[in-house]
Amino acid sequence: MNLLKEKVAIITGAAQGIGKGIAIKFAQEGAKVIIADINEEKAQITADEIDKTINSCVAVGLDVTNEPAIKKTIDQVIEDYGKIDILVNNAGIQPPKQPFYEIEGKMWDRALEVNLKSVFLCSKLIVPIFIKQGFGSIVNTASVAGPILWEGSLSYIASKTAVAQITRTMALELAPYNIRVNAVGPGHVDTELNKATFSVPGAREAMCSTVPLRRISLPKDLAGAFAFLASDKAGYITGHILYVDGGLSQNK
Amino acid sequence: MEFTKKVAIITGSAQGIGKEMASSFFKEGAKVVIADLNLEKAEETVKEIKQQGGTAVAIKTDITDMDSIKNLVKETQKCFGKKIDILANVAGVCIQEDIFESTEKSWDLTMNINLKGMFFLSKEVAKIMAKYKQGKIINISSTSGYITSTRCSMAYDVSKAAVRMLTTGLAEFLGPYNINVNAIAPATTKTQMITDLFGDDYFKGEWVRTSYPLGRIADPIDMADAVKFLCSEDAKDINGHTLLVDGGCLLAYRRK
Repeated sequence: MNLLKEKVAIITGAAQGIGKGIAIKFAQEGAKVIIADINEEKAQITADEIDKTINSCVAVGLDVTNEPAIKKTIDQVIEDYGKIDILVNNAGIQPPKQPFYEIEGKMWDRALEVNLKSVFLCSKLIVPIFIKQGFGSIVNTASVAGPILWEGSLSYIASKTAVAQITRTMALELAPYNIRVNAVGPGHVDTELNKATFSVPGAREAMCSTVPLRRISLPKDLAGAFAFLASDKAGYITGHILYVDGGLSQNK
Repeated sequence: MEFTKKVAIITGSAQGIGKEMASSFFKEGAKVVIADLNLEKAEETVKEIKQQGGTAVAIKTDITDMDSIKNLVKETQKCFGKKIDILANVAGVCIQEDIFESTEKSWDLTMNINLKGMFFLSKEVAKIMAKYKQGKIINISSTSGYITSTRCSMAYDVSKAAVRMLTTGLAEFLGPYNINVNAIAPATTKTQMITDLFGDDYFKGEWVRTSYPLGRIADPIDMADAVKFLCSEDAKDINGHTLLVDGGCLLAYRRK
C-alpha cells in the first residue's frame, strides 16, 4: 500500500466515476491527491470523503479546456506542495450516441476539446515543472475505442484514439527528461454516468458475454493500472497503452 | 503480502529474468517452483530463496518434452498441493545466425522452446486452474516480436511475435474460467544470456540513449515488477494484453 508514498498527484475529472476510483486508489497507495473537476461541489464531497478516511486529498474546481485556469491550478499545487509527481488526464465526456452525419459541429468541437485538447493543455503546462524537477509521470485515460469500433460515437472514438497517439508521441519527446507518459484503455465500465445503459433488462448480460472474463469493470478495478503506470515500478514503461478490458480488445 | 499461499510455477527461472521473478514472488509469500532444464542452477536458486526464508522447489523440466511437462505439473502438486495459481512461461532461447547460415535444427529448437512448450505447459496448467476457477498465466514475448533486430535470429523474432497471438488466444478461451492470460514484451535486458551473447560493453555508449529513449538498458527487476503487477489483484481485469516494458525503444524505432 505504499506504491505512491509521498507522491503528489493531480487527477482531472475525479469527482466521480473512473476518476474517483483512481483518486481513492492513489490515496490508498500513499499519494497526496488533488482532485481537479469542473463540478467543484462534487469534487469537494469526494475529496472530503477521501481526506477523512484515507489520506490527504483536496478539491479544486477546474475547466480543463481553460488554459489560464489550468496554469493557476498547477501554480497553486506547487505553492502548496512544493512539487508535482503525477498528472492523470482523466476528464472526459461521452457525447450522446447518434449517426455521425447528424452530429452538430459544436458538439464535435466540444468532444475534441474536453477529451483531447485538455490532455494537450494540462500536459503542456505541467511539463516545464517536470523538466525542472527532473521527474514526472503522466497517465491518460484512453479507451478500447480504436482497437474496437462501434457505431454512433464518431467524435468520442476520434478523440480517444488521438489520446492514445499523443500519449506515444509525448512519451517520445519527454523520455530524455525522465518523464514517462502512458495511458490506460478501459473497456466496459460500470459508473454512475452510464447507469441508464445497464438498467436496460439484459444489457449487462449481453455486454458481459462479449468480454472473455465475462465481467464489467468497476472504477476500482481500473485504478490499479493507473497507479502502477504512475509509479516507479513502471520506471521502464513509457508510451504504452495498457488496456484494462477483460480481453475485449484482444490487444489489437 | 500479495501472493501468500499462492503456488507459482516459473519456467526458465534458474537464472536471468525468471530468477528475478521467482525472487519477487517468494518475497510476496508465494511458494515457487523453479522449473528449468539446468537442475544444478535451479537448485542453487532454490537454496538462495530458502536462505532468505522463502519456499521453493527445483524441478528439472524440458518444456519441449510432453512427459516432462506432465511431470512438472504432477511434481508441483505433490510438493505444494492440488491448486496452481500462477504460471510464468519464461523459458526461452535465442540462437543468432546469419540468415544464409541458419539451420533447421536451431529453428526447430527455438520454436519448440519459445512457442510449443509454452502452449502445452499452459494447457496442462490451465486444466487445473479451470477447476478452481482462477489463475494467472504470464508469457514472455519480446520487442523482437514487433520489430526485426539487427542481430539476426529470425526464428526468435517469429516465435516472440507468435507469443502475442498465443496470449490473446489463450485469454479468449480461458477468460470464461476466470483465468487471466497476459504477456510482457521486454526489450534487451541485462541478464547473463544477453551478456554472454553480446559482451559487457554492449550496455554502454551513445546508441543506448538513441535506441532507448529512457536512456538505459533494462534490468531484470523491471520485468519482475511488471509481471508481479499483472499477477496482482490490481490487474484482475487485464486479459489478453502484452505489456511493453521497453524503455520506449519501439517509439524510437518508429521515429523516422
